[in-house]
Amino acid sequence: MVGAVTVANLKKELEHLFPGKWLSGGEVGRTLKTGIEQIDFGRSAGLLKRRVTEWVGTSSSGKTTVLRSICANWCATGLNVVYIDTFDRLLASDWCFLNNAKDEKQGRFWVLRSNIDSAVKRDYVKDSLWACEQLIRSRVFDVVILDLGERNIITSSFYARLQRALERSKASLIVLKDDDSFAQSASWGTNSRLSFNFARPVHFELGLTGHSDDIATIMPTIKGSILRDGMAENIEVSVASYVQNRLFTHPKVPDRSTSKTRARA
Amino acid sequence: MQFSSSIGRAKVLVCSREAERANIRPGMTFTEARAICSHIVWREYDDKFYKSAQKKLARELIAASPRVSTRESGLFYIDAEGFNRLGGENKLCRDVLKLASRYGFVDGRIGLADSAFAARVASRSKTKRWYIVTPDCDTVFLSPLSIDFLPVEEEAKGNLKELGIRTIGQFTEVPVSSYIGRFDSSVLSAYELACGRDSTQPALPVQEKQYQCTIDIGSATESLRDTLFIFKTMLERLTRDLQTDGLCADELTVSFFNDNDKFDERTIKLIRSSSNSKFLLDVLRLSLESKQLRREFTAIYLGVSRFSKEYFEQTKATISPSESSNFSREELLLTGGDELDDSSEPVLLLLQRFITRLGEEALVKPVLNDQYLPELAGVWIPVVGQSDLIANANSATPVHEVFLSHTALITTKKSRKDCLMPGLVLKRHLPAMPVFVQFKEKSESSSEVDRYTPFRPAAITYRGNWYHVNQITTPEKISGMWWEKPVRKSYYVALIEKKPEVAMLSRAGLKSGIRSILPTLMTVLLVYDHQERGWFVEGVFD
Repeated sequence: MVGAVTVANLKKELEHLFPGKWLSGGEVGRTLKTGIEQIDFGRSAGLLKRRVTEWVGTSSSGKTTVLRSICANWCATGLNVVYIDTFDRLLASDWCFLNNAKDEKQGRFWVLRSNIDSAVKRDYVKDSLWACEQLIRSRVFDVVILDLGERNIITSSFYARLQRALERSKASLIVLKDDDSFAQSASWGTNSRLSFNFARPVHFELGLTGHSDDIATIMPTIKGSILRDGMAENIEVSVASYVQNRLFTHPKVPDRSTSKTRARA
Repeated sequence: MQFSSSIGRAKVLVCSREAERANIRPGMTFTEARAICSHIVWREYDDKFYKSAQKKLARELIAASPRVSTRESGLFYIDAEGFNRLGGENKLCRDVLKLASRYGFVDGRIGLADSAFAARVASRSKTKRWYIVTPDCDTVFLSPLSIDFLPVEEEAKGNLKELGIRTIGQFTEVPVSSYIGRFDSSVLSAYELACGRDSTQPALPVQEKQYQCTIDIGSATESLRDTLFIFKTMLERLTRDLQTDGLCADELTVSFFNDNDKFDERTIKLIRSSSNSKFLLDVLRLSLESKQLRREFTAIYLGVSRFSKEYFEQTKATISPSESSNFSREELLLTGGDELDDSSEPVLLLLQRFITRLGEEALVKPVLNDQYLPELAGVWIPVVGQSDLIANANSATPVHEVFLSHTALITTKKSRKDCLMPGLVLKRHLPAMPVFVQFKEKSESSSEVDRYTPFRPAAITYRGNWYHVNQITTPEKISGMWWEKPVRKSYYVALIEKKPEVAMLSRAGLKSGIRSILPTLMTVLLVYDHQERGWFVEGVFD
């Protein structure tokens, strides 16, 4: 019994040094569970580690909302997530809760921003792709999310480079694209494709007056489909309403009153 | 001023005389200081920069007197003995002020006395640029002055004043034995200073050791990779010297020469002080690889431009029950390995790489901010060296707990739907996208709500297409920031749908193989800016 434990530990050590060679599929935990039933127990059985997953949907399709929920699950289980926000489109207030937990075992959520400055000419997409490769190679993060927006320009050679980097790491790469969600096949080099779009029924919550015109929140349904190994499966998720965070807070207004210690003229 | 995540919470550490005159005091927050003085100008506090500037000036002041010492920021002690035959003390003061003004310090003041404390007090003279206290008359000079000049706590000063002691003369009249046991050591040392007994003396300057080395390669080289072994040798020498003196490098400077022409200089700011040559070589390599050299080089200069004292930190240790046995025993675990520890070497190297190529503000963490405008309700804080500030920012955000209570995941098994994190994620348009808006025609039987929100968009343009506003929320009207840049906005969440004719065209486009990235149904953040008097789409909910 003791011998078996020692061998298992040795295998783990060797796997750490030379990843992908010493542990069998079951031992290494090849999939990354998302916490969403349809993704984890459906056709995709979670997201594969060391592989590229496409996360697509048109602009305003609900894909980032779903992803944020999954990121929250990952962070809660101690996984480290990094989001490459190529065009600085994320709002900090939407993502704060991921880093604010007091639990020490909580994983980190970092964002790589381009800090777009119109005065400086820089190829932001190129920098993002470079950063993505570096983040994977560092073997520090469990999930790397690459948000390219509408600039869907990863070449097949770069996909191959990313794949090589992934094979030597423990990370899973999610490529987020504003793309036509009805495309029938995944891009070259990707393992699976999850596509999303807003759909009816749209749920509303009425405001304090209760009048039908007084709508407080709008919550469309998010429909999606998982495409893997040529097989597709549809999923449907709904979004819970929430009251804006900022409604609870009152900013500190500077004290303009004259100081008591001010010398009188 | 010390930087904080929010400038409003930054604290004043040092302020100018002009600021002091406007009743600004060290310890105030920026908001408090600005409330007193609206045209306050703030500068980020850089201790090392000020110290290096002070040392530089001290080196110049040696021309006036051989013994010069530096103390607190902006304070110099100069030996003024033996100047009777060199033009006198007045000439010395003039020379020193001239020297200082040559380096931009035009508002310097000098006090000249037997003891350093009396000289310091004399330098605060409001009428003269230099004030010379008559020899052997320090106590006479100090006697009528207020006890506010004494270096003691405000509380102790208050206690002394309550006892009727208002001047330094009254303070020294009372025997020191009366203060022993009643006041702390600072009052007792102030007593010594007030009596003219100050051991502070200017000293001869100590030559600072510089950590630098230069190598002449002899031939022109373009490749950095081929010269790595040279850098390794240089770094090993420098780190050996640093370790001997108990120091760590904070910043490296590399210069490349082509013959005598210095054509490239790079300053590499280290995110963690280190005297480990392997780590420094990695950092150096990464930094140099990120930017190509313009031409070949024949010589390299490598110097440690900033360094600090080495300190040692206990590795984090936790005690946990053993997992691998049936016995109930505990194991001591040291942190490291796969955890994302900010101080671990892979993370440091990664951060260093990103800082060098993308800047310090590239890798960030989201943190809540005490503001209610959506774009300001959270801030991005750089990951590097901001851990303390994050802790401060968290403690200052009362909304934290309320928000968390809404973020728990709920799974409803009956409907087989996953209830996600509340709310939708907004993706901003930078800058906000101006849009044309078509309004609803007002009917006579307009509802109660319409009375309060007369602007009800019926259709908007978005990227060249007309979208029909299917549903729109009651606006969230926010105004504020009048103390910086006034904001007055009405925020609407609108569910927009392509107009039928446009949708038909899009479908035709799809059939003919033209892909459309704009969906038929979208949720956008529509804003009416009352200041600008215009409609904008600030982002889409994705």
